[in-house]
Amino acid sequence: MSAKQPTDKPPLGMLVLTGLTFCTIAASAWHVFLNTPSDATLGIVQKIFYWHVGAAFGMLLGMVTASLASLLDLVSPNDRVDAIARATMEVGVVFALMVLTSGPIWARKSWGTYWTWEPRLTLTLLVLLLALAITAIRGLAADSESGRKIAAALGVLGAPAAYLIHVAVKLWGGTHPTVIDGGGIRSTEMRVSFWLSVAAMLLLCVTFIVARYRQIRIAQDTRELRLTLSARALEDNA
Amino acid sequence: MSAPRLQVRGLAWAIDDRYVIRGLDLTLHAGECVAVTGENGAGKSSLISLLTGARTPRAGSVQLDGVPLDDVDPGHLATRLAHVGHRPSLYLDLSARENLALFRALVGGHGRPDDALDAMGILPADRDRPVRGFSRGMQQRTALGRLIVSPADVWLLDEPSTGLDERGRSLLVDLVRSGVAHGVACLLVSHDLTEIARIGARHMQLTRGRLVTQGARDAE
Amino acid sequence: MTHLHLTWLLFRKDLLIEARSREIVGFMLLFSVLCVVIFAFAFLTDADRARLFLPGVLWVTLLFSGTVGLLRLFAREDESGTLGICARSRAGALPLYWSKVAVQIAFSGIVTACVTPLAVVFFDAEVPDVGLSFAALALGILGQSFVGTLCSALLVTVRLREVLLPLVLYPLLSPLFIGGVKMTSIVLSRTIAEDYTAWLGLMVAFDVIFMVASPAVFTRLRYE
Repeated sequence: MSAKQPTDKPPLGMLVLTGLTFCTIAASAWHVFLNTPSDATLGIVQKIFYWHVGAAFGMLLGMVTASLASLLDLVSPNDRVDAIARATMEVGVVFALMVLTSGPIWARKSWGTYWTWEPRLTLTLLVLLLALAITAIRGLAADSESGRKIAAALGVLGAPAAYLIHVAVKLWGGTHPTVIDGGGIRSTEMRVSFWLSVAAMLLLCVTFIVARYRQIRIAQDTRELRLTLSARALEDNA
Repeated sequence: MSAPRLQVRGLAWAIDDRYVIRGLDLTLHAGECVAVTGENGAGKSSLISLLTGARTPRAGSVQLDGVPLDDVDPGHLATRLAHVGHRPSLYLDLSARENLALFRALVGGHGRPDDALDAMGILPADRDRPVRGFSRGMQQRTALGRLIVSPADVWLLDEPSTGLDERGRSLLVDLVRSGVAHGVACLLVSHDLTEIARIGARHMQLTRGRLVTQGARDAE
Repeated sequence: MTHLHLTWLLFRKDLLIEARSREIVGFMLLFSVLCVVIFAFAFLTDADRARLFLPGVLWVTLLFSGTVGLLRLFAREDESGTLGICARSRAGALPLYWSKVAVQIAFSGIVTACVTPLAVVFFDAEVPDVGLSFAALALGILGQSFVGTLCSALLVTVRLREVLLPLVLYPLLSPLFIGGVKMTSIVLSRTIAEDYTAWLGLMVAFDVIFMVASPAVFTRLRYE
């Protein structure tokens, strides 16, 4: 059980993290829109590239961590590890959705079509579908031990599956146009924008994960409190 | 007292944020039968699930011959613990003999299915047709036959007399008494006090999360 | 040896029950034939290009009918309350896993063997290399059985498992599916021009990885 007394104010670390994220997002937005030249052919839509790639990194961070945490939870169950697995997978889903909305916007502008079955987006879509299914199962099993075990087992299986999907869609969609490649980065300004945006997205991802993790932990602690109360009730009735 | 087979210390189990078992202690010795009664929802079936290893307790430990259940090899555990519940758990399309033969092979048991079916009063004419055609009571008797072919020396019985007629209940009592006489440690969840008395079991009640000794028998 | 013996006993038990109750294979077969017919209505508008659709039709049918079988695999154990008994053998829970995989392979194999010739006829195709076609389908059935048996066992206690199994299974099986369709279409084309070895390798890798991973996860589960 958490040793701290619950208060209304979030801890200092959380405030610092949120502040840092906010500043980085602002800095990257300013730099992308005001300091970086637009692409000659694509215009302002090209700028979506900066956040699209960042979102992809965020998704990767979320999903890989979720898979590792699931493995750990399967081997030796632990409430904290379970909370990490849940939080990172859910945030991974959010960032996957970001990737899948920004990608087609770019594709429409540069290729005239929303969806080209390019390998990376296809992989993202499949991983998203699996993650959503796992989240749905957790929701249905309502925090029970079996729901947790199922989610952990599938989270573990998802890792080799994702690798194989990656190989498969690359072989399959290799001839389909790659929507977003890195070939457009020419100048220093673009490079700075790129790394600022990636940093901003990763920080945002971490902030979300930490916030969701704390939320889950609070729910777990509340459950512990209820259990302790029921234990007292059992003894008091003696 | 004879060797303790199953040792339970400080067991805890919760359903929906509410403890149903808390601080439960129990020692089951070879050659004895402990009967557990309690109100509906008191946690009796949960207790059995925890003892078979199907569920992991919130707190506390269950040990078989001094070894925590989690550390026991699952294959070995299958040959030591036998569980019969209120559902027959039989393959309805297989015959009584086929069901028992399969079970015996799975757990490395002994004895002939026919002998077990004799003891449980299943007529030879009935032993070859699918169990789907049996009455509830006959199915339950067949299920109890598992205990005879099993090598297990710890029996966990969860309301095993469900669906049994007077004769079936009599056979059950004989079965448990015979097993106990041969050194089996038996835990019986029941609500039938007559049955408990006929078996001569140590009667405990599951109340407020713990087991409390009932009746005139001395506590352990 | 005990493992093998117990796996065989459980496998034989399922075959025996199927022979007596005829609950699974018949329905899988009927469903598959219906699938192929529906697909024929969907795609046979253009007679010239009809045979191009055969690989896709075959694999979708395999996927769907396989799912029907997978759902029944553990549902029956759950209904008769025997899951706990099978999972607790003196060799642990692995004989249960492998026997169910064997059952799924057997049933899917039977259905595929019956439906494939039918589909070939409906879609007016020719099969230049039967060996490779067989290999592709076999690899698909194997992979689906390894992964599907685990997923079916995972979901046995969950509400809405009929809906959830495809949701979970299809993304996991997608590499196998993609590889299978590609390889089958290469094999069915008159000249095997494209290189099919990459797809073959993908499917083999899939099967090997999940042949190891699935039982490992299976043994960590608890059964009532």
